[in-house]
Amino acid sequence: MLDVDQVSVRYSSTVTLRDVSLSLAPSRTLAVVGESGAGKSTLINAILGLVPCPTGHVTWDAKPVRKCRPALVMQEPRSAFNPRMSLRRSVKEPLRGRQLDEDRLARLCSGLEIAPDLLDRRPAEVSIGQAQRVGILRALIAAPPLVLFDEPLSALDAVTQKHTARLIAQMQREEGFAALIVTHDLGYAAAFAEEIAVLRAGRIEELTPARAFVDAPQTAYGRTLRDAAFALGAFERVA
Amino acid sequence: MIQIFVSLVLRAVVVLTGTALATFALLWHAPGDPALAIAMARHNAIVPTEVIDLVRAEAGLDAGFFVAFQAWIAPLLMGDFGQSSVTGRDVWPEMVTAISYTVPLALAALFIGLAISVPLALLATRSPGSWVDRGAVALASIGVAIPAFWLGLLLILLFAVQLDWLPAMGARTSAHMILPALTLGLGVAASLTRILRSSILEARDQAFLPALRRRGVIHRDIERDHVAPHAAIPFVTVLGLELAFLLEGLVVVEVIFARPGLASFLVSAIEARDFPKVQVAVLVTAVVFVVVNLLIDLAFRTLDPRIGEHDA
Repeated sequence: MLDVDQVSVRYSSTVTLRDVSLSLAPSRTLAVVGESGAGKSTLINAILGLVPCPTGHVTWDAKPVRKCRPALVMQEPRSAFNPRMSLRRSVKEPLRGRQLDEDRLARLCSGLEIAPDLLDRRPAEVSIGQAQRVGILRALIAAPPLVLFDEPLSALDAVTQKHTARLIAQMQREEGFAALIVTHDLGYAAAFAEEIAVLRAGRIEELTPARAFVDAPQTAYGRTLRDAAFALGAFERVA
Repeated sequence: MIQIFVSLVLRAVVVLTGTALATFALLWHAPGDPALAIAMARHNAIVPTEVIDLVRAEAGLDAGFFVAFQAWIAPLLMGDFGQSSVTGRDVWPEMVTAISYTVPLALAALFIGLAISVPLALLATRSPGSWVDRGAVALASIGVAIPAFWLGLLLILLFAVQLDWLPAMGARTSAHMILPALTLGLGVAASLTRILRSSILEARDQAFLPALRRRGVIHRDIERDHVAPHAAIPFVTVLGLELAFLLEGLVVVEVIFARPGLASFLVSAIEARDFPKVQVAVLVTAVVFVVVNLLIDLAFRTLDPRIGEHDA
């Protein structure tokens, strides 16, 4: 279980995260929403141990998160791959020299609708949607218990967004990993997460079940976000 | 792969044929009578017209350009490099003797260049902008700016004349190779340091590296799998070019340090218009270039499989 307890992060004189606390159980999905600059990506970096947290701590099953080797799916799928390498070689990277389980690879490829020969191509030779699915495949290949998604859909077109979101949910049901999704897409968050955390200026404004958030946000800022998403048709688009 | 190899070999054949033809044409059309030059080199004195005509006929110079070219190239294709127009002796053994002095010197210079440049560039790029980095850049700039003939003279002045530590002239012992190898090697080290430093820094700036760091890939693996292959491509290119400059520098350095080798072989052959000797020296040099370029081409394809994919 992921436990983020009273974490604060400070970049020089600016406080980016203030006393952030949240938890996430295996097989569950938590979406962290908020506007740009709210500290969403910093939260991911803090969980991954990439930024020092002067106060608070982040653990997975009471051990440092790094020990559970969490996986990360990035926003820009193409720039997440070495352009010289075949996708197959990149996908094997998280195994850190361990033997690739071909059966598992085939199963994951089938689940993510990746044609077997696609992995022999290089990043520039596939579409962005395909590259993002391969990015998810790479994240899942070493069977991590925790997968962090940093704006996983925002580089994709609307149709591919919906399709990829469904594939992620389906893979989570099969693999049972805990998913922490950082997004500004409230429609996606409401459709696929069990809980929504609203982050504003480095603080968690509210942490509520997704359905309850859509029906009645607890804070004024939550209502503003929800209403803006309604106005843009975000909930109809993804659901 | 076979297709790529065949196309590279065909390119090499075209380059070698062009080199042979161009060298022959340049010697043929150079000002002055080649028969006179050969006769004077042979007899070391002013020679009568009859002797010059005899030399002209012997060397096949009276038969016209293409006949003379054909008379030279046909035995060459069978592995016969011919005889010197001046001494009448086989050219190839003389060439082998010359190479036996030049190749170890070139390899020693290349070794010095690599032994200095690789650690220096790695040290400099550990903390870009630091005094170590700036010092390395300054040293490399000075090294590139100093011509080999001047550096050679400075080294002779210091180590042979002032300190009397090392011999300055000749090639009798391995100690005789130290100063010429340093002269060439320091120049090679300077250009290789500059290019390696900048290509490592550029390689560390690739767009996908932050993603790797965020995913927790350790620094050593990033450097080995993603930075080094990218940085190696410009480095290998310049290494190939350096070899060309090295051959050019060798001629100067061999003259300064009075070493026997390819330089004295070539210069004496050109002065005497000794066609077979000049041709064999130029062809051997061209073969070295072609082989080096071939190796660089293959290295590129290994470092970045995208290179040359459309040739296949």
